[in-house]
Amino acid sequence: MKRILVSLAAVAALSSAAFADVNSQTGCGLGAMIIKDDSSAIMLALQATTNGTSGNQTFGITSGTSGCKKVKFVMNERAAEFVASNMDQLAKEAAMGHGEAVDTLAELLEVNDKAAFAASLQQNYNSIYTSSDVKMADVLDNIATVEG
Amino acid sequence: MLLVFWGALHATAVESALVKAGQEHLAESRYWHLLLHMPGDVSEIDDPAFFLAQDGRENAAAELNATIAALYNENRLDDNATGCRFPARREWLQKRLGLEGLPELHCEAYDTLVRKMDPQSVTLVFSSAHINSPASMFGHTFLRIDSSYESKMLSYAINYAAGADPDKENGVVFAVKGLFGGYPGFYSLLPYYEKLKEYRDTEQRDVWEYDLDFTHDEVMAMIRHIWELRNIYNWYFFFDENCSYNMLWLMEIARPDADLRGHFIYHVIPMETVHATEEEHLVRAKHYRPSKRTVLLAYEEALDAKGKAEALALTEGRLSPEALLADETRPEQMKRYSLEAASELAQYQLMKGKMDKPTYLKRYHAILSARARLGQGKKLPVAQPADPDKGHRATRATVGSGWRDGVPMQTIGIRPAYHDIGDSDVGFMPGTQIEFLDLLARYDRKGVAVEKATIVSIVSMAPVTAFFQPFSWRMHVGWDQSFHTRQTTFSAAVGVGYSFGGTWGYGYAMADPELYVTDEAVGALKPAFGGVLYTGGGSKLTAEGGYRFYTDGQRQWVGSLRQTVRLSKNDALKLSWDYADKDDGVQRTFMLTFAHYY
Repeated sequence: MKRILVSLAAVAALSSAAFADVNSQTGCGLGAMIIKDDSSAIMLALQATTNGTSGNQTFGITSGTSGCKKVKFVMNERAAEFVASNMDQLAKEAAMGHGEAVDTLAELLEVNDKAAFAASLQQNYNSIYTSSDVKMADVLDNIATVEG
Repeated sequence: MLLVFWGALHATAVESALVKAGQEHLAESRYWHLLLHMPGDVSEIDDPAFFLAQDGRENAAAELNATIAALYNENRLDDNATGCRFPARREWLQKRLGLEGLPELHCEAYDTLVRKMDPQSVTLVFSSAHINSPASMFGHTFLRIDSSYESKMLSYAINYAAGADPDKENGVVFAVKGLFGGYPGFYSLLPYYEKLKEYRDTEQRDVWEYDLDFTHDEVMAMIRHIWELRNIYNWYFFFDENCSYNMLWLMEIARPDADLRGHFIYHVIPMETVHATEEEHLVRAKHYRPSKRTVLLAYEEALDAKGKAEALALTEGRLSPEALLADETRPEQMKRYSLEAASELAQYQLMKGKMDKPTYLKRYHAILSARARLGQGKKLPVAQPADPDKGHRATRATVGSGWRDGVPMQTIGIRPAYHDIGDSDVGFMPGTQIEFLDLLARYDRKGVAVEKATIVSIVSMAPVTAFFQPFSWRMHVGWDQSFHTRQTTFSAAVGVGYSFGGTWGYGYAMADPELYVTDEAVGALKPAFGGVLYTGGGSKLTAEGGYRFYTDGQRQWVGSLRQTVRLSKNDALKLSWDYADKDDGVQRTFMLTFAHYY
C-alpha cells in the first residue's frame, strides 16, 4: 500500500503543473457553465490522481436564482432554478425540437404533451431566445407567452 | 413539585432505555457501528462534532448512552436539537428501544430538504475516464437520490470530495496532500444536472447509472444518515477512504445486510464499487449517458466529409448559418447535423478557453436560431460502448511459458492495478493504460530472476479526428528488459506523439526520451511506431517497433508483436514475441501467458 502511494506521489512530482482551475460561472444567461482550464499538458496525470477532490462544493440546496431577474408570470421556483442553470442545453434542445432538458421543463411546468411542447419551443425559437444575451426570466416569460 | 415529578419520570425513561440498550447489546450491533462509521473499535470520522460523548470516536457504548440521554434532555426543540441533527440515530433507537416520551421536535431545515428532494430511489453513478487522462480510468462514483419526477435531471447527487481549494495550493502539494489525508473530505448535495455539467460536459466523461434496488424505507434511512454527515469532515485519503469508499457506508446504512465494504481490503477503485454492488444484487437497471466528446464523435460518424468541414467552419465563423440554410445542394439532414455539431463544438471551445464568451454567445445563438428552422429531423444515433462493469477486474495474475533464444523460460506475475494496452478494451476507454506495481518473475536454467518490475506506467493514445487534435503520451518508471544489456534495468521515460484510429483499432507514432540507470545514468531517445488491431470479441493484436539511440553511442532495434485472446470477462490468453538488440547479439522471447483478473 505504502509503495503504491509513494509511486503515485512520484507521478505527482513528475508533473509539476498546477491543478485544474474549476470556475463555476453562474449567471442567468447563456454561456454560464462550469469552465475548467486544463490547457497545461502535463497536469493530466496529476489531475487524475486528484480525481474526486474538487473543492468548493456545498451541502446546501439553495435556490440558484438569487440575483436573477424575477419572472413576470407566476411559475414555480424549481422551473426558474432549472432554466437558470441549464440555459445552454435548453436552448440547443429547443432548437432541435427534442431533448431531456426540454422534457424536464415540460414536467416542471406541468405540461402533459411533451412532444407538442418541444415542437412549439422549436417553432417559436426566435420569440423565446430573442437575443444572445437573453436571460432566464425572459425565456420563461416568453415561453409563457407563446404557450398562452 | 410537578417539575420534580416530571424530571423523575424523565430520568426513569432514560434509565430504562439505557438498561434495555445494555440488555440488547445495541452498542455492539452492526447498525450502530454503521451509524458511527466504525469498522472496528474506532470511527473513521475525524470530526469531533459528530460525537456526543467525549470519547465517542473510540467508544461505541459511551456514544450510544450519550445519544439516548441527549435525545431525552433536549435543550431546544428546533434544528439544533440532537434529534434534528441525528435523525437516523433517533429513528433507529426509537425503533429498537421504543423510547417513550421523547420530546416533539420541529426539524425545519431537515424537513425542507426532504420535501425538496422528495427521495424515492437511489442510483449509483459512475463517470468513466476522460480522454488523455488515463489515471481517471479509476473513475468516480457518487450516489443520486431520485424523486417522483420522471426526469432524472431533477434528482440530487451526493458526492464525497476533499474540501481543498486548488487555487491556493501548489499542484504537487495538492496531489500529495490528497493522497496522504491532508485535506478534509466533505459530503455535498447538488442537483444532478450540476454533476452532469461537471463530468459529462466539462470533463467529457461518459456516465453510467446503476439504479439500485432500495425500498422507500431504505432510501429514507440513507437520507436521514446523510443529514447527520452534513458539515462533518473526514480526512480524505485518495486510495482507501476516498469518494467511492464513503458511498459504501451510505449504501450499507440503507441495506445493512449488504456487506459492501467486505469486498475491499486496502484500496477502493471506484469501478470496483460497482462490481461489489452488482455482486450484492443491488442493481436493478443500467443507463448510459454519452459525454459531449462521445456525442461529437457520433456527429463525425453521421456527417459526410463536407458536413464535418461545414460544422468546423460554422464554429469558427467562416461560414454563416444563413449561408448554409440557403445552400440547396446540401441534404436537409446534413444541415441539421452540421448545425448541431457546430453548437456542440462552440460549447466545447468555450469550455476549453479557446473561444471567448462574447464570440460564443453570438455564434451559439445564430447557429441554434438557424437549426430551429429545420424541424426536428432524425435523432443522432450514438453507439453505446460496453458497460464498464463488463470490463475485467482490477488485479491481474499471470503464468507464462515459452522460450528466450531457444531456452525454455517460465514466468509468474501479479499486478494490483489496473489495465494496460495489451488487456482487452471491453469496458475500458481504448488507448488508455495505467499500471501500478506490475511484477513479473522468470524462471529459467539460471534460476529465478526479476523480469519486470513496473512502479507506474501510463499510456494515453488519444486519436486525432476531424473535431479533436489531441496529442498522445506515455510514461513509464520501473525495471524491465529493454536496455541494451541483458540485465533487468531501471528506467524512466516520458514520450509524446500522435495517434489515429477508427473502429478497426488505432496506430501511433511516438518519440520517447528515456533515462536508464545502471552504474551510471544513460540517456536514450526512441522513435517508435505501433498499433492495435481489434480482432473481434474483445481480442486484439498489438505491435510496436522502434530504434533507440543511447547517449553512450549504442544503437538498438526493439520490437514486439502480441495477440490477446479474451476468453471471458476475467480470463485471457496472451501470445507474445519480443525482439531486442543486445550487446552480445539479438534477444528473442516467445511466450504464451494465461491471465486471470480478480
